[in-house]
Amino acid sequence: MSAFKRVQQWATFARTWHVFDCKWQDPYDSAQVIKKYLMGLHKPIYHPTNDCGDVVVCINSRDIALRGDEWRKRAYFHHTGYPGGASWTLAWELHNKDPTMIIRKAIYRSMKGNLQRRHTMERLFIFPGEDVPQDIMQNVTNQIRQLRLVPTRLDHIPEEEVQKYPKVMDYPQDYVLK
Amino acid sequence: MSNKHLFLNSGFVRAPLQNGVGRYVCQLQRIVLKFCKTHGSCRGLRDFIEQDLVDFAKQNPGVVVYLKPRRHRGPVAVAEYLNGDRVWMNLANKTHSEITKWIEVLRTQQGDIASTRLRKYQYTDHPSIQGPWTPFTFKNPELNTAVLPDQKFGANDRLPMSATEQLRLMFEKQKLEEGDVKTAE
Amino acid sequence: MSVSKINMAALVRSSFGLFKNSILNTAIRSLSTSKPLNIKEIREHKEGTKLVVEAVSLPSPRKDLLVRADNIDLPSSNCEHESSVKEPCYMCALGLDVKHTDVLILSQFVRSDGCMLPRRITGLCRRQQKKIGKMVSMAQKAGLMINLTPAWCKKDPKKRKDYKKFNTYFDEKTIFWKRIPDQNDKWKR
Repeated sequence: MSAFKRVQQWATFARTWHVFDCKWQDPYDSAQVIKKYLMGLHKPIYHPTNDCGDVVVCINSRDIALRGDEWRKRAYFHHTGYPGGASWTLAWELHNKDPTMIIRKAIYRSMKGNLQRRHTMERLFIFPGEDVPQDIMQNVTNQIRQLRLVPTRLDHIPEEEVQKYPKVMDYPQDYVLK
Repeated sequence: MSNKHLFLNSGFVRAPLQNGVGRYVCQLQRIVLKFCKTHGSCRGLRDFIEQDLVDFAKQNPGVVVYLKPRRHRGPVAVAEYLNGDRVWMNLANKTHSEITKWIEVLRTQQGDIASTRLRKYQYTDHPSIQGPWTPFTFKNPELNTAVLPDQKFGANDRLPMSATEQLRLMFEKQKLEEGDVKTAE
Repeated sequence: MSVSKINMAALVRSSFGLFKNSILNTAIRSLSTSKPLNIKEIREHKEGTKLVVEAVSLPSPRKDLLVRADNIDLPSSNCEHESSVKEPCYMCALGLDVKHTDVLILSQFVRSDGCMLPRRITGLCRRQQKKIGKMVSMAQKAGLMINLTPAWCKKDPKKRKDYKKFNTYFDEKTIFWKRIPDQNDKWKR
């Protein structure tokens, strides 16, 4: 193998590091996207036997958003193995204990349960906030696009912009503003 | 791959060696039809032999056809090919028309292709001239200098326009139309 | 004269009310026709020897910013509505796909304390009134309209308790309303 061919081989199978911002994202929907990057399904060279998965760094996992009443309706099951050892933890309780756990479990469960899954999960880093260690962040060369738009709060929009924004509703003739 | 296919020959998807571009060489060399003269399951094969076999042999002079009658055994066709493959095919209870089609398959195929495990579903004699894919092909070059995470690269840019933006555009349009009316006067 | 007149006594009372308001600076307004509300303006002019004082109703401050579907020729504008007898309400006519994150639109239907305005004031059809009302409460629960939220709520989601303190989004498909049978449905002519 010539030197050029060897470098070509390295380039093709090089691992890319991706960053994903979890702010206002549904963990179960974004797990379907992150999974593809972790397993290497987004690459044209993908094959189940070649090791072409990428590394994904999830940030702001504390700010994930669940749909509707899922914070109090979704339960996570755990059994210690002893009689009476079953426990059900609600999503908001789990998120209180460990803000990275919900997204990690979502990604873990989105993948098929084979021997490769544990090793694929090793390539996933999750951070509850913005601050990521420098030795991880310096490898990142790509960003995965979010699924949902991050909504803007009304009190964060400047007052004059709210005033100038076109209106659809007009008050009736003698309506007294409250 | 797993051990499931341990005794299966493996190979690649292949174009048939451009056979027929210049001169067609029939890959089937020899076909042996084994049958019983009384057995019911050989009925179709016997019909084929009675009606079509002479025509088949005349049209394919390159193929050696053997007939092997044997008592109280099932009907079988064995085809041998130029590359040394040997295909055994059971023809029990097949009708005349089915056997005609299967023998056509044996005649036109190129070796024992049915019992090979495909290592890949694609194969090319001419690999890409632009080089193999790397993680940086088709990537936005702006990413090289960007400081990630950046909302410019992270926000979803494929969503439909939000109602807030649509209303803003409608308002602009309405203002333009009102302006048009005024200039017309 | 179509403009309503106010007699002298009322004017005196109103001016006194104005005076009192400016001094005490209370939120309670004694008279709705006074200047701070910008509904009507008091104008006075002389006709010969007579002094005429009249209250003229002012145009709404939203008038210049108002968007109406009649003024824009929307592409394929509501063919189904033309066949129906009723005139569509202004929100139906615009045909916007409003979501609960469009706080700039939703905040127009809301009083300053965060309550949804009733239908006689918004002038919407039943479906739109229900839909927008639901979306307003969605936006308030998600903490997107903190300044327009009832005072008894914990306004900032970060200060709320338990499951309420985490980010929540809503799906507009979960808003239920009665399906209007399609006029072009081939099974029901």
